[in-house]
Amino acid sequence: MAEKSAQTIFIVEDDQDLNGAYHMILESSGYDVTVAFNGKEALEKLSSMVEPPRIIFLDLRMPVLDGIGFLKEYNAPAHPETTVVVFSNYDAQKEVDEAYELGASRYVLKARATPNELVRIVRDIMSD
Amino acid sequence: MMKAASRKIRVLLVDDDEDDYLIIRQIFSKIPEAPFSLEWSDDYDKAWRLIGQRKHHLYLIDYRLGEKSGMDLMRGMLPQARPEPFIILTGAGDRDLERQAMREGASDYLVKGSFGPELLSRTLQYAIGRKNAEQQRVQYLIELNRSKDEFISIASHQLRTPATGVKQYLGMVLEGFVGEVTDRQRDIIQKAYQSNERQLRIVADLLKVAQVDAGKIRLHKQKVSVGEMLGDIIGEQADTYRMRQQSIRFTSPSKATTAHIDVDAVRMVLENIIDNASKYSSEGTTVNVAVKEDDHSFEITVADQGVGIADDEHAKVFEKFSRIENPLSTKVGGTGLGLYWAKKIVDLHGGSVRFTSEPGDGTTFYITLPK
Ligand SMILES: Nc1ncnc2c1ncn2[C@@H]1O[C@H](COP(=O)(O)OP(=O)(O)OP(=O)(O)O)[C@@H](O)[C@H]1O
Ligand SMILES: [Mg+2]
Repeated sequence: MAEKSAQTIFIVEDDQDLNGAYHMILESSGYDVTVAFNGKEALEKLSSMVEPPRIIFLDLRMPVLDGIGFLKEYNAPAHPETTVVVFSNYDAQKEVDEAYELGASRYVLKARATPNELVRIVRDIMSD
Repeated sequence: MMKAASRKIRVLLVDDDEDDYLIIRQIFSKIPEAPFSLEWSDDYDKAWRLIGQRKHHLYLIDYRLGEKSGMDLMRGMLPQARPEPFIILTGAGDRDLERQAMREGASDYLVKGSFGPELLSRTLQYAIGRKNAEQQRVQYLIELNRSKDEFISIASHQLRTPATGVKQYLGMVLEGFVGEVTDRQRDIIQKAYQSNERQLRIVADLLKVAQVDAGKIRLHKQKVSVGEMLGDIIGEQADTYRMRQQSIRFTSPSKATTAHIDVDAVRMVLENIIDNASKYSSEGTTVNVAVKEDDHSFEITVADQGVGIADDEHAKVFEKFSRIENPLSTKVGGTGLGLYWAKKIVDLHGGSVRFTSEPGDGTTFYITLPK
C-alpha cells in the first residue's frame, strides 16, 4: 500500500465553512484530504478512490443523504482499514448510538474540538 | 375515558339520601331518547374510589354529604386537572354556596327540587361540551409548549454550526496553523475566541435545558468514586479560583465513597455549583467542599463566603433564566440556567439540592444523591 494514500482523510460535512476549516487544518498538518458535502457524494467519491481513506470524518445531519443513511450503504465492517469518526453538533444520544451500531468507532462534538484536538485525534488513529 | 361499548353518557350521582336518588332517577328516566346512564353512590369514600377509576363522564354531587361536603370531594379531585365535569346539587336559594361551587371549579349547579328532565339534560350536555372545549384548549397549549421546546432546540443547533466555524478559524490562528501573529493581534483574536466560547456555552445550556424540558434525558448511571470526581472538578477549576485570588478546600471522605450516578451529568451539576461559589464571592475568600455519607445516600456540601442570597429571592434560584441581582452579578457572566438544570438532573436521580444563605456572609449548597 502506498504510504501517502494510506494517510488520506475524508471529510464529509455539509457546512461549507466548517468543511473548509477542517480541510485547511488537516492539510496544513500534512495529510491528504478529500471532501464531500453529503452522504451521496461521499459514496460516489469513495467508489472512485484508488485506495480507501484511513479516516472518514462523518457529519450526521446532511441534506440528500445523511450520516446514518451513508453508513447503511457504506457497510463499515467491510472496510476495517478505515476508521469512521462521527462528527456531529447534535448531542443526540440516539443518533450517535445508531452510528456506533453501524460501525462508527468514535464520536467528536464539533463545537468542542479545537484544531489541535482534531489533529490529535487523527494522530491517535494513525498510530493505532 | 370510556370504551365505545356504550354510547351513553355515564353519570355518577353522589348523594347520601336515597329518596333524592329516586327522585333524580325518575327525572332522568323522562329525558327523551335516554342519552344518560345513571349510577348512584351514597357515601363519600365509595364515591372517591369510583371517581378515581374514571369510568364516568360526569359527576353530579350533592353538596350535603354526611360530615364531608360535596365540595370536599370536588376539591380533593382537583377539578382543574380533570377532563370530567362536576355539577353540584344545592338546596333552594343558597346563592353563596352556588358561587362558591363555581369558584371551586364546578361546571354548573342544579337546585334540588327545581329542575325537570329538560333542564337536567341541557345542563349536563352543556357541561360536557364546555369541558371538551376546555380540553381542546389544554391540548393546544401542550402542543404549543412542545413546539416551543422544539423551536429552541432547532434554533440552538442552527446557531451552533456558525459558532463552531468561528471557533475553528480563530483556533487555527491562535494555535499557530497559519503562522505568527503579533501579541496585540493575538490578544484581540483571543478575546473574539472567548466571546465565541461564551456563545457556544449558552447554546449548549439552552440545548441541555430543552432536552430536560422535553423529557429526553436518559441517565447513564455507572459506579464512580465521589471523591475522585470532586477532586477532578476542583483541579480543573483551580485556575479560575487562583485568578480570583480565592482558595478552595476539599475535605475528601475518609473512606472511598462510591455512587451509582450519571457521571457526566452530575459532574456538570457540581461544576456549576462550585463555579457559582467562586463567581458570587469576592477576592480572598475560601470555598469549602465536603462529602458526608450514610448507608443509602451521600451529601456534598459547597460552602462559600460570598454575597449570599436574600431570603425573598430564595424561590427564584432554581428557576429558568433567573439571575438574582447582587454586587457581583453584573461582573460575572451567566444565563441563569445552571441551577434550573442542576435541580432537574438531581431530581431525576431521586436526590435533592437545597441551600442555606446568609446575605453578606455566604451560601452553602447541599446536594444529596442516593448511592
Ligand atoms: N453561591 C451563590 N451565592 C450567591 N448567589 C448565588 C450562588 N449560586 C447561585 N446564585 C444566584 O442564583 C442565580 C442562578 O444560578 P445559576 O447557576 O442557575 O445561574 P448563573 O450562574 O447566573 O448562570 P449559568 O447558567 O451560567 O450557571 C445566580 O444568577 C445567582 O444570582
Ligand atoms: Mg451558574
